[in-house]
Amino acid sequence: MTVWRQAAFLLGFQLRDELRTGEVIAVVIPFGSIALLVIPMAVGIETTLLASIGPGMYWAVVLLFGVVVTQRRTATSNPSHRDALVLLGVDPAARFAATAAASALLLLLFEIGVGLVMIVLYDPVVAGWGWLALVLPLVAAGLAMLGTIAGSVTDGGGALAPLLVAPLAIPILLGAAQATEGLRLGTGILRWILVLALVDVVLALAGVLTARVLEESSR
Amino acid sequence: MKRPIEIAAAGTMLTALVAGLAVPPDAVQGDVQRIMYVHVPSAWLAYLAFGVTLIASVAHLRTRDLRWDRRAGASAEIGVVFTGLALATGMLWGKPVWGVWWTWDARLVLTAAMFFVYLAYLALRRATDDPVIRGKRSAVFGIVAALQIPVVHFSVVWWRSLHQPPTILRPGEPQIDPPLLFALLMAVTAFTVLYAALLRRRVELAEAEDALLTTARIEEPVAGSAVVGPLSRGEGA
Amino acid sequence: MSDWGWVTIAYVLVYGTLGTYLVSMTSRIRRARRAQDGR
Repeated sequence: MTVWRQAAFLLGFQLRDELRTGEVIAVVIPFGSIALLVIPMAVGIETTLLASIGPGMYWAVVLLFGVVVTQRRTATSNPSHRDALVLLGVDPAARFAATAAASALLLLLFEIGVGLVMIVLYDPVVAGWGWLALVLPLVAAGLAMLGTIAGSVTDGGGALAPLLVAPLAIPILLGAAQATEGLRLGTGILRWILVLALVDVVLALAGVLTARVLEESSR
Repeated sequence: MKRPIEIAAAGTMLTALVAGLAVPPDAVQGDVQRIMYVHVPSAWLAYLAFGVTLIASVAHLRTRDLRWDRRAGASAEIGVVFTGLALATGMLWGKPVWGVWWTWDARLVLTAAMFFVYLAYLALRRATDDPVIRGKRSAVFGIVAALQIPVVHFSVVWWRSLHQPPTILRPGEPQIDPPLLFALLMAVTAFTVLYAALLRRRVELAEAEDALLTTARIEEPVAGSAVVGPLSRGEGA
Repeated sequence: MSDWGWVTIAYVLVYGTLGTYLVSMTSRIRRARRAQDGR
């Protein structure tokens, strides 16, 4: 079985697992939504204020709460499960790709769910839907890969993985927020799309290269 | 027991201190500019320590020698101290000069980001008891962080370049009078010697602490210890 | 606060932190070695 086939196979497994536990749908999307609900309680409910901070708050919530999606139970598998995969000869790069891809798809779902909540509560001016359709998956992919790498160097649980992710996710946040703002103002956003794309390339390389090293260290 | 490097560090730091206080004040900023003689070296060491952590991480993955991992961890701890000092002194300079503790200047934001990356790296190291696993995990995170940091860097610089006029007074500007430049170079040299001294000591500490970890693990009950040989009267399980 | 006030705080902070850090290292090493010998 080629690496790609292995990855696709494992991806299916993870998504089926997630469908069963429903952690993302039932827990993380509501968690992100309640964050957006609580923020106006803290900063004020004037429509102009909310309209201007809405998209920014959205991306902050996606970044900070989205990490939880990448640390879900079905992603941070237990050691015996991992050992079984190693014995079966599964390429660690395939395992990384599958976990990251599953997280990316779930993050996309998370982004859409929380995005709808933000639009309802904050009523922002949203422009450039076509470009946003590109930004969302780029962000999801970057955050997914970063979260997967963080999940594989930590033992799962607690705030350690989110702490590892947050500072390195700054370019993702900046790219997304600046692109959204640029679309609203009608200025050029190409550099921010490039930042998001570059992040994805760097993390994909890093994840694949380090997957094999981490395999041996898993306990 | 003082090592030569520590004596050298003490000596150069003292000289730098005297130089920083004795040179004439800056024509524009006045005496507050003297903070630059501790701020700039701190920032420089923050970056140097980070670089050493990266190099040591790569070396560890290639050689699997735990000494490289200890160097990486030691340099990171020292680096976080210098980064914290760089941020603090930057604020102490900024308040009298700009009137605010913090501005969203690209350099400040990047230093703060680096501070958090350091903290994350150290937290990761602290989370693992086994030195071998710790070494691999830290090295991986260190390398991923190092690959991502340049992207962090220019995304922040681009972000700030949209809003920041280029004429803002920046610390460590290139036009600097010879005596002030001497004080600055003296300080940078002194801090670098101090870093070397700190690194040696911190690696020594890491060796002592790792030795404790290893013996502790050996004393843990091994699986199957319930099955024992014949015991003489009085010995218990 | 005067300019020299800010300078003093900065210098005390930096030299104090670094000095304490270096000195504390020696006692930390000694403590770890003593714990090791005690095993």
